[in-house]
Amino acid sequence: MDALISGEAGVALLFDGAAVRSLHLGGDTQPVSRRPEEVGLLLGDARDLQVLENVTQEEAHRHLEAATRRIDTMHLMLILLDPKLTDDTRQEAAVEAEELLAGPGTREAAEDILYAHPLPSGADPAGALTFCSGEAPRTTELLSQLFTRQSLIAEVQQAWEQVPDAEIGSAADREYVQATFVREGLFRSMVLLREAQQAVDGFLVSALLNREVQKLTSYRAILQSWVEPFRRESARPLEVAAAADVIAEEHVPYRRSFDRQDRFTKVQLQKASIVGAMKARDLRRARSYVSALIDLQTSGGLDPIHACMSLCDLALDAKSVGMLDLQLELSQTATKLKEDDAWSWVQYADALLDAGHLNEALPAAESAIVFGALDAGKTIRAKVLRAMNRLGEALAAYDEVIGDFPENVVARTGRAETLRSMDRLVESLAAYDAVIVDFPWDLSARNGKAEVLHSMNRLVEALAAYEGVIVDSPQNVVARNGKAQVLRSMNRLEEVWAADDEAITAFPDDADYLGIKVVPGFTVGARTEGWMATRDQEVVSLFLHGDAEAVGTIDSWISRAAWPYQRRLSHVWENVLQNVRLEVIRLLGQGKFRGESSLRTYLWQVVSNSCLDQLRSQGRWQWADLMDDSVSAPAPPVTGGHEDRDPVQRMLGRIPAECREVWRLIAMGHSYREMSRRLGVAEGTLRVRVLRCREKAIALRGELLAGRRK
Amino acid sequence: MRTESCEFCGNPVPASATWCPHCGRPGLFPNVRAAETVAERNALAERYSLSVEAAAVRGCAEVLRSFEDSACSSKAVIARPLAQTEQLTCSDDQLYSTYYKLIEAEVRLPSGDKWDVLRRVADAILFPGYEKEIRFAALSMDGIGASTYGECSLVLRDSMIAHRASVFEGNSAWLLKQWRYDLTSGFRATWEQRSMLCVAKLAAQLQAEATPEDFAEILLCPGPIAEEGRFVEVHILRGLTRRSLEKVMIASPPRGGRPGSTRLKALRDRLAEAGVAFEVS
Repeated sequence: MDALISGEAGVALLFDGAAVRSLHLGGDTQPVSRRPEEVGLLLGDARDLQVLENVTQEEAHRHLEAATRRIDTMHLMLILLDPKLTDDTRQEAAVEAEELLAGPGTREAAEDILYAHPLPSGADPAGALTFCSGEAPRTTELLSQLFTRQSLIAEVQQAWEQVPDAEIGSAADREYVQATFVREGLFRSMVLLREAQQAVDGFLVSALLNREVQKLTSYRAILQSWVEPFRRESARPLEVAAAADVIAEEHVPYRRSFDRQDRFTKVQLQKASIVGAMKARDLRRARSYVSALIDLQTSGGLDPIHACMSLCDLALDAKSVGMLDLQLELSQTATKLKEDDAWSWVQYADALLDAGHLNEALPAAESAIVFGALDAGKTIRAKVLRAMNRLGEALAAYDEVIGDFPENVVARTGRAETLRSMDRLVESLAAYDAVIVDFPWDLSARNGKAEVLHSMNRLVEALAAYEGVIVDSPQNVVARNGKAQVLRSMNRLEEVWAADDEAITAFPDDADYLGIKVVPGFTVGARTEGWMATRDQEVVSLFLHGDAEAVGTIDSWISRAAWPYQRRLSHVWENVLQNVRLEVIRLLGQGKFRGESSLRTYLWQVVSNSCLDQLRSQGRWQWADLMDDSVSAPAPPVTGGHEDRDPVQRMLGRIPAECREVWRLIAMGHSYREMSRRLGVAEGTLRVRVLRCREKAIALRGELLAGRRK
Repeated sequence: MRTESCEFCGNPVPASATWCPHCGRPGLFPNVRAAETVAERNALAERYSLSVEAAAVRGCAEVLRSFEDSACSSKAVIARPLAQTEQLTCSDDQLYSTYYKLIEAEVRLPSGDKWDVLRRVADAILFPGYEKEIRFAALSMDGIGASTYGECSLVLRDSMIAHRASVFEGNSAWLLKQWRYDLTSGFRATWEQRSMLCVAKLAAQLQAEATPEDFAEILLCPGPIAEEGRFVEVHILRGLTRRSLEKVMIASPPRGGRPGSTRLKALRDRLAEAGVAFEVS
C-alpha cells in the first residue's frame, strides 16, 4: 500500500486500492476507515506531507512516529528559545526535548529544519542554554551547535534567496522546493559543508542523486545556482583567505586547537543576550547569563583574561543603560577573576566613581596604576580626587597624566574642568582653548569653554560657542541646554521659548532637554500641564504595575534628584538611595501624588526632603544645599570660614530671601505655574520677580568677580 | 446594482462597498447590511413565527424559549489545528487570513477538490466583491467548534465581531449548491438576531424533553465530512488576531504524551500575554 504522512497533523493515511484508512498516534493505534472526502480535513493545512510507496502498516507507523518526533522537537526548540514564555514551560520543554532527542534520527531531523533558516531576532539562545544546563546534554549540544552555526546558516539561506525566480518559478514553487530540500537535509548538509570548508562538488553529486530532489522540475539548475556563491568563494586567492584568518585571530583570543570559532560565536551570542536583558532591565536574567558566560570563558583551563575583557565590555554596556549597580558588580567580578588585570581595575574604579563610592574608588584607581594602566588609571584617579573635592590634588594628578601622556584628551579636559571648579576661570579658558586647538572635534571641551565664558559673563561669546557645537552636533543636549541658559542670562526670553519649542519638535524622544520631558514617547512642554498631569498619572500607574520603562524612568529621576547629595552622603549612599526608593514607592502606592505638580517635580521634592532629612540627622546640612523645603525658613548664618573658602556661598548669602526661594524652586524644576501656586503670587508677577532677582544675582556676581580680581 | 445611502455624506453607495466611494469613510460592513435589508428581516421573521407556532403545537414552546435564550448568548467559534493556532497566537502581528488571501500570497495552493469550486461560487453570490475579506466561524453554545476543521476552538470576543458579523443557515457552499444557487431571503441574520435564525432553523428538531445540555449539540454537530455537519455559519468581515479571541478551548489534546502538553503550556503562556483564556477539557 501507499501512505501519506504528516507529523504536523499527526496522521498517516493508508491507500490500499480504493480503500482509505487513517493511522493516528496515541490512543487507538488501529487504522480507521475513511472516505476520500475526509482526506483534506484530516490533513488540515499541514505542510510536511510525505509520500511513501509500497509500505507496510508498520513501516507507515514508524515513519509517522519519526515525523511526529521531528515536529515535536522543532516545536520544543522554539518554546525553549522564546523568552516570552514562562520559565516552567521552557524548563519542561528542555526536559522533553532531551527525551525526544534520544530517539534514533531525531536530532538530524530536527537539525534539518532548524538549519534551514537563521533564528529570529527575538530568540533567546542564552536563556535556552540556561534551561538546558546540567540536565539536558543532548539538547545543550544541539543548541550550542545551532547557535555557533548561525552565521553559516545565514550564509546558506542568503545563497538560497539568491537563486533566481526564473530557475524555480512562483513563490509557491520556491516554498515547495525549499520544503523538499529541508526534508532531505540539504540545508543542513550545506551548513556542515561550509563549516568544514569542503568543496561543494561532493554535496552537489549527492544532492543530484537524491530521488526526492530528482522529482523536482529544474532541480539541476536550482542546485547549481544555490552552490554558485560558495564555488566562487572557495576559488578565492590564498592570500585573501590568509588575511581573513589573521583578522579572525585578532578578534578571537583562543587557541586554534580549542575550537576557537565555535567559542567566539557562543561568547558573542551570550554577550548579546546579556545586553538584551540589560535593556529589558531584567537584572535576574542578566546575572544568570553573566554567570554562564564566565563558565564558558573559564572552562577548559582558559586564562580568565578573556572573561575579564567580556565583563569590562559589559560593564560599559551596563553604564550606558544606566544600570550602575550591575556595572559595579561586573567590574568587581572582573577584578576578582584576575587580580592583576589593570583594565578591570580601571573599570572597577570608574564604576565606584559613578556609584559615588569615592573612598573605595581611589585605591581601585591606584591598583590600576600599579598593574600597568598608567594612562587610564592616573586619569581615573584624578577624576576621583576631583569628585572628592580635593581639587588641588586633582589638578596635580591631571598635570602628571598630561606630562606623561600629552595626547590624553580626557585628562586635559578634566584639568580644564578642575580649574573651572577652582574658579580659576582665565586658566580654565586657556586650558580649554589648548584642548580645542589640538582636538577640535572634542565637544565636551567646546561645551566646557562655553560654560566658562558664561561664568565669566562673556555672554555673546558663550552663545556663539554653544551655537558652534549645535551646528556640528545638532543633538547635543548639553549645548542646547547651555544655549538656553545663556539666552536666559541675556534676558532674551522669547528666544528661550523658541529654543524650547525647537528642541521639543526636533528631539521628541530626547529624555532630558531642559527637564521638560517626562517619559520616552510622552514628550510634553512645560506649557501643557493639564496633559502632562494625565500622562504623569499613566506613568505612576505603569510604575506601580512594574512596567520596566516606567520603573527605569522614575528611577533615573530619583537618581538625578539625589545626585547633588551623593558626595555629602557618600558613606551611607546606598542606604539613602534605597530608603528614597522605598519612600517613593510608598507614596505613589498610597496615591499621594495628585497631579498638582508635575511628577518629576514631585519626585524631586520627595527625594530632596529624604536626603535633607539624612543630612540634618548628621548635622551636615547647609543652606548652600539649596534644598530646604520650608518656604519661610531664614537663611542660616554663613560662617566666616565658609565665606573665605566658597565665594559662591558668600554671594548667595547676600541674595534677598525672596530671591533665594525663587531660585530654590527653579532649581527643583518647578514651572512658573507651579511656582506661582506655591508662592501665592500671579504668574506674571512671578516672572517679573524672577527677572529682578536675576539682575540682582548678576550684579552681585559681578561684584564678586571684581573683588576676586583685586 | 443595489445601492444605499452613506450615513455620513448621504450619497448613494453600492451595497457591497466596504467604504463610501464619495467621502471615503470606512466602517461599512456589506455582509451585515445584506442581512439587515427589509426583505431579509421580514422573511426571517416569518420563518421564525412559523417555527414558534409549530413548536407550540408540538408542545415544545417552553423548551424552544429556553433554546432561544441559550442561542442569544452563543459565540462565534473557529476550529483550527494546533499548529495553526500556535502560529496565530505567537504574536499580535499574526493575522487569521482567508483562503483566498493565502492563495493570492502564494502561501498555499488551492485544494483543487470539489469544495474549491463550490466555495468560490457560493462566496461570489453571498459576498459579491468582498469574498476575500470574509472569515468563517460557527455558532456554538459550549465554545467547542466544528472539530472536523481542527482540535482547537477559537472563541471570538463578541465586542470584536458583533458590528461586522452576520450569520447564515448552514454551510453556505453546500446549501447554495442544494438550492441550485438561488439565494432566497430569510436564511441570514445580523449578529444580534442570531437567535431568531437558530430558532427558525432548529425548532423542528427540538423535542419536549430536550434539556439545555442537549442544545449545544443541536446547534452544532460536526459530521465526519463537511456535507454532514450541522452548524450555523458565521461570516466575519476583515481581519482577526489573537486579540480578537476571548478563549481557546481544546476538547481533547491532539496527541497523548508529554510533548503535546508542553506545546499546550506554551500556547497557554502566549494566550495569557494577550489576555485570552485557555481551557483544556
